[in-house]
Amino acid sequence: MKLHWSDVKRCCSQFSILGVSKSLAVLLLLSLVGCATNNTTKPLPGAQLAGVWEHVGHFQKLDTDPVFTPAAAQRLEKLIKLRDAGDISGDYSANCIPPVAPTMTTIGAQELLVDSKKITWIMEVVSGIRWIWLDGRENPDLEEVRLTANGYSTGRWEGDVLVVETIGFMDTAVLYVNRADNASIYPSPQMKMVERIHLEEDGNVLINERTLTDPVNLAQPWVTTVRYERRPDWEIEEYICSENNRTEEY
Amino acid sequence: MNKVSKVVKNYFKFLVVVSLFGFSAQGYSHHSAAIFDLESEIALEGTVVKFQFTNPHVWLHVNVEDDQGNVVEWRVESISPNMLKRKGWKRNSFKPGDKVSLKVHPTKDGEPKGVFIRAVLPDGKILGRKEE
Repeated sequence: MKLHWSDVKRCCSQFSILGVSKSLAVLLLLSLVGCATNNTTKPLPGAQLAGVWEHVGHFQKLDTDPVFTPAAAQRLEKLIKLRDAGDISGDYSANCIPPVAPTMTTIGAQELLVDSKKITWIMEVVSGIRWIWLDGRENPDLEEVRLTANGYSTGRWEGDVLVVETIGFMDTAVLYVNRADNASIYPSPQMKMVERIHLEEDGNVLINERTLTDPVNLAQPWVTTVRYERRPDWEIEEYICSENNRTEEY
Repeated sequence: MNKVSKVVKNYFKFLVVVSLFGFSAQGYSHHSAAIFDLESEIALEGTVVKFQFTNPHVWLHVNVEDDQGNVVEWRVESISPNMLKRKGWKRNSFKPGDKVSLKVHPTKDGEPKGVFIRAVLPDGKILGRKEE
């Protein structure tokens, strides 16, 4: 915010017309300007997270693999058999349903926008968006929350670490694409993700330590550490999956 | 002249999957890649029919002459244009009528379709994997 002395004098003259002394008017005006300036320059918590990031690595080659429950492993086998027989009805991603946030955040470009109430996390692939609420609210009741691909996220700061809890994932969005068979595992609505996010290397590396639990599909918590590098020269672009989806090709 | 030469190589699965999903790590295949033989590569030489710089995947259609002299239209798929743009691809990187040399992962059943590995453009520029 730029303010010239000539503006101050002109404004104070108007105050004096109203019967307020010029010196008092100057003090009043400078106080107002000072308040406004302080409000606009106060850094937001987490502002340093803002920017475009690239996940370093492949979403099918994270540092750990999930361990599935016997029931989930059976469903995976069934899906592979169906697909090999030419039936892709169990492959929801072929219809452009995006993966859940734990997967989407490990594919390609990500942009984080920070404001006073939330972090808006844009996942370029399939133009996905998740909102991490930082205004002190609690996550809704799991039985009531609408199930979505990216879930419902709330965060809090523990020092320099942002801790995010996410619930409410829908069970038709891919959780994990099996590396060996390239077949999909889907989460249950009981899945929960806890993320611990911090910056390293002068703010140019973002580390996300994630723990996923799902009593239906995961035999044990799936703990992964995901690394992102800042990409200041990248811009996020539109991604419409149905633009030229050729499901019939498969 | 036989313009389709099959060069089957047993690459490490790691490298194959990396190339399928886009040179490094950023691509996401929203469908199964089960129809493709990711352990094989074939070389194609042909003429560009059309190029779709679209999501979720870029498609390149190329007319290729087979062993019997028949012209076959191949459909070659790559990753999202969002990521390819950052690798230097443009909406007009391939123009109808361009003569191009390609390397692709073919389908398992012989259908004329493939996953993009690399292309040599008429001006000698290479898109995709740099090494032969």
